[in-house]
Amino acid sequence: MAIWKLIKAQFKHKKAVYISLFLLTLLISFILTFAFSMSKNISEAAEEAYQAGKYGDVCFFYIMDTPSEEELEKLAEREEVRDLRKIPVVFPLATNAGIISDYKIATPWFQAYNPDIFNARLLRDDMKSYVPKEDASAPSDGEVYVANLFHFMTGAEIGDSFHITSTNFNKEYRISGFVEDLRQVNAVNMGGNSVFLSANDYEDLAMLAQEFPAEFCESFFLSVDKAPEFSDLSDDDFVNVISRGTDIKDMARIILTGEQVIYFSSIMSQIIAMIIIFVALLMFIANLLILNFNINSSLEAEYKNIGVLKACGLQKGHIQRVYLLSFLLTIGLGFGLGLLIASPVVVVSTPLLLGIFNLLVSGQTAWLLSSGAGLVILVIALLMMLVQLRKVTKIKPREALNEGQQSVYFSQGIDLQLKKPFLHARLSVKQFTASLHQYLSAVLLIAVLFFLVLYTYSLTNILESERMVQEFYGLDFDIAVRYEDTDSETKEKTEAVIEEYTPILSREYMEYADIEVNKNSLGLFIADNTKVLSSLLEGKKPEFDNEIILTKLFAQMHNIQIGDMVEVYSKGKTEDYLVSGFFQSLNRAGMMALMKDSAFRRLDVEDDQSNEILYKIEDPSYGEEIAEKLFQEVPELYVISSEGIQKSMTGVDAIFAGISWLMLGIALLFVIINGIMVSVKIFYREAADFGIFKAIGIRNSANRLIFSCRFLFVAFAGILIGYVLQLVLAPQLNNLLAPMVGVSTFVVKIEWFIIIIFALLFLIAFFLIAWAVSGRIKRLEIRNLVNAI
Amino acid sequence: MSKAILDCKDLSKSYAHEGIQNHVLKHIDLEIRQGEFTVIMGPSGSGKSTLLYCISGMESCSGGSVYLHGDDITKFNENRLSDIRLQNFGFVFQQIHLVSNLSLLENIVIPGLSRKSGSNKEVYAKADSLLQTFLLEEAKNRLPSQVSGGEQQRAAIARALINQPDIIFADEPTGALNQNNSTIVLDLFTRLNQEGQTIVMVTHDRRAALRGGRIIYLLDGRIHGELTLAPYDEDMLKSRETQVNAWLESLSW
Ligand SMILES: Nc1ncnc2c1ncn2[C@@H]1O[C@H](COP(=O)(O)OP(=O)(O)OP(=O)(O)O)[C@@H](O)[C@H]1O
Ligand SMILES: [Mg+2]
Repeated sequence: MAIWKLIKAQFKHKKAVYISLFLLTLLISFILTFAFSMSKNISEAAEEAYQAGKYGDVCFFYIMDTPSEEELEKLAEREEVRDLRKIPVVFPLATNAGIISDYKIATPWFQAYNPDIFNARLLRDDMKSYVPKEDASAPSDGEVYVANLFHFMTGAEIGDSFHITSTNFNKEYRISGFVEDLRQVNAVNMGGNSVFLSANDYEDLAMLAQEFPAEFCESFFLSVDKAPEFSDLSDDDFVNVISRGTDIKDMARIILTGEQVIYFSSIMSQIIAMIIIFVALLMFIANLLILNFNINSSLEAEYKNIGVLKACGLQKGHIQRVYLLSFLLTIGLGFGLGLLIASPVVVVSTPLLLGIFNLLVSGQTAWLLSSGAGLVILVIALLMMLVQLRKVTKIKPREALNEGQQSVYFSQGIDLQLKKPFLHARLSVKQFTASLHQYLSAVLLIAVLFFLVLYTYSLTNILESERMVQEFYGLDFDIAVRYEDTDSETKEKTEAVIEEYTPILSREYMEYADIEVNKNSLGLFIADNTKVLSSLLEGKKPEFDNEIILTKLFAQMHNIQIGDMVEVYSKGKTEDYLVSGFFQSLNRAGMMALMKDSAFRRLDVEDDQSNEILYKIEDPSYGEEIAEKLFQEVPELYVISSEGIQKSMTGVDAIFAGISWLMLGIALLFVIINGIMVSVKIFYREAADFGIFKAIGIRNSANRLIFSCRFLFVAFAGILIGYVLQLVLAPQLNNLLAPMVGVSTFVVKIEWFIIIIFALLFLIAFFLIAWAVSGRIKRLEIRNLVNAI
Repeated sequence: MSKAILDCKDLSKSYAHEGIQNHVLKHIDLEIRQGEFTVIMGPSGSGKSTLLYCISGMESCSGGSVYLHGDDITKFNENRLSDIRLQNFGFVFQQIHLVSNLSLLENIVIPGLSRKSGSNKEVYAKADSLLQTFLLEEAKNRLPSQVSGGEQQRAAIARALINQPDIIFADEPTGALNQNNSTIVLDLFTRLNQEGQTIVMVTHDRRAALRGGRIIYLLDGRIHGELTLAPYDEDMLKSRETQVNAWLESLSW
């Protein structure tokens, strides 16, 4: 068929265009498929692990304070409760109670391996699948199973020794297996590290806890399942209903519902997938621009050919079909191949995910989702091409044949006298301004690319651990110590330990309580001094006894504005408070409030909340060391350092940064491919002029300079627009991302010098690309250049 | 006899196309002397343009040498060739080839300004005097698309002249022009030659060929014949025409 001949000719003569278009689409398709598959697989793995793990609809974790047996019995009898499982754990109070080889686990908890009440799935030795539940027996006496994250954190292997050490107890165990435990997956992190023992060994430890209450404490997790009749009840409401009038909720150190566990265990992958999809989306927009640019310049370059074809009797439909088919074929093939290539990459990379997410993730490709996205892309590209190709209709054979080529320049450009010095730069400016509209799409493209790069870069530091603590944790402190009684000697002892390292700059008292605001449960920071709040987003900090601030996320969820009165409930008492502002905090997935100590007294006169002092120290880098020292010296204290939090997040933020840098790399690759495409196009469009310049004796280097300089201007204009895009669009995009981690805003932080470096990189890259492309001047004979049409 | 500016010896050129060698120029010896107006004629495809591009340093040769003032330009690198095109040669094309977004004046000054020597002022003064001689004063600030073909070609010739080249090469300079404009351009060439300008012109047109002082007939890549004529004289046109026609017929043109 004639059409296929023409399409073949298109492919043959414009190899570069089609190949780069193909590569770009492949890249986009690849990363999309990868992101979709990864995120789908991880959510499914989390969901499956949750189902298999008997986690329960809600799980309470108690330390020290535990609800009474009566309360539990009553709870079990409630009609809303289907099942209730108590999972005893021994929690060491002394530091370094668990040791694997040389690695000290700060907060291990020990529990008997019993799949009937808590099914931590046992991994096979190759860590690629699970031992079926029927075959998974508890470790023998003297052996332990540890959570799989140990393997990745410490390099511990099966057969390694594991010690439990305290003043009065020292025993060596052998690690005989790794298990999956959702309580310490990725962002869930309940703070402990699971170690599973045989029933006998566990009994010994429990006895020990009785004997030496200063060294070990026995406590429990409480898993509660909803009765089927109450499945409509949300997990949060369920918690509120079953705990009303009891200590069940108030005494719990941690409460996590099933929904939250699934959410947190896959949240990182969702965020990463979101980011990848954003980047792909931006690339797609750039790709559309490139396609647009290509069709435009193809039509220009083939103006005459189209005229000839029309004159020979081909209908415009034929011609349009040639373009449509050739571009669609290229995009379709690129997309298909990207999908196919992504598939094995997904398979290969899933075992790595176990180390990152602590979940066994299947290596399935999200075919349906990815090809759906591909279809959408194809349709959008098709629509855009149809709009572009309407131009074919307007080409009149006679004019096209007479004119030969549509005139490249429509104007003279700016009025700039040609003279020495900088003759060639001046010439370049003239050429550039004369065909400004031709460069418009190139400028737009560079703008999108620059935005893409800036935005991806800004993502690399958005989840930086330091920022997480400062901006997202919500409180400004270096060390937080939870005291039984802040007036005790322990406080003096503690502060003496701190001051051994570095002077204490300030101490702020802080309490923590569970409340309900307009009947929705929330965590509450109770501050003596609101100075500690480091993440106020809007409004003002609470000053008066009737003021409260809420996380913006919570406020948005429940449609609360600054200035609204809200009903705050705590322990049987309800009071009205005025919302004076919004802040953000990662605590409890962003569901937090904060008020002054005196304000809280209106609700609760008894002071039975746990007390915390937030310290600022002169040299914060001692934070972790101090926390460790305190653990040894004053073991009954609960100490966290922001250094420690940061360190605990470094795993996550390293993955995040890694992905973002990878995306940045891909974006830069994308920029280079696009840069080459654009400059090749423009070069051929202006080849005749270069021929003329060459013929009249302008040296190749000067000629190349005339060409390349223009790309400096194009890049410069693009960079400016791209920067504006970043200013305008990045916050919008981030506002979509932020609620996923439980905050309402990510502040885009790009240092000036980074922007300047990227801008320079762009300028240099585009100049060099143009310089390299214009190297063709050397190879081309003047006659070919001059006669090039 | 005046001295030779350009001397090409045993010049060959072949194109390789899909493995087949196409010998376009075969062992050509040709001397261009100071002040000569050389016309190259020959059937289509005989290699006229190729010869012109080869001896003017625009295209590389496959064999032989081209001496300019005694230096073999076929041995020159790209930059030296560019400098020669800039300073020693001027080139006029059939399709005119002015840069379309630059005014006639700007097109003319570019080669002048591209030289290291010479001030901006000198170049613009020279351009002004050329514009005056070529009757382009009024049109000088217009774009090529805004002037007639004849004016365009005159501007192109002015551009070729701005650096006072040793030789002007013209490949069918009247090919794209109508009768009237052709005559104007040819008159200009004649006048330039009378003032001492060396010219090498390729043409199909017998009337254009009459302007030459020497006609070279190229056939199948070889010089097939050469005719030397008396200096051009408007009044002697008739006899000149008969002489050239007879010569061309003897070559079965
Ligand atoms: N780039 C090229 N590649 C291959 N062959 C070429 C190339 N340029 C010219 N030729 C061939 O060289 C031969 C001479 O071409 P040239 O242009 O010199 O002819 P010409 O005498 O100027 O013809 P015309 O009078 O039609 O302009 C022709 O057969 C042509 O096909
Ligand atoms: Mg020719």
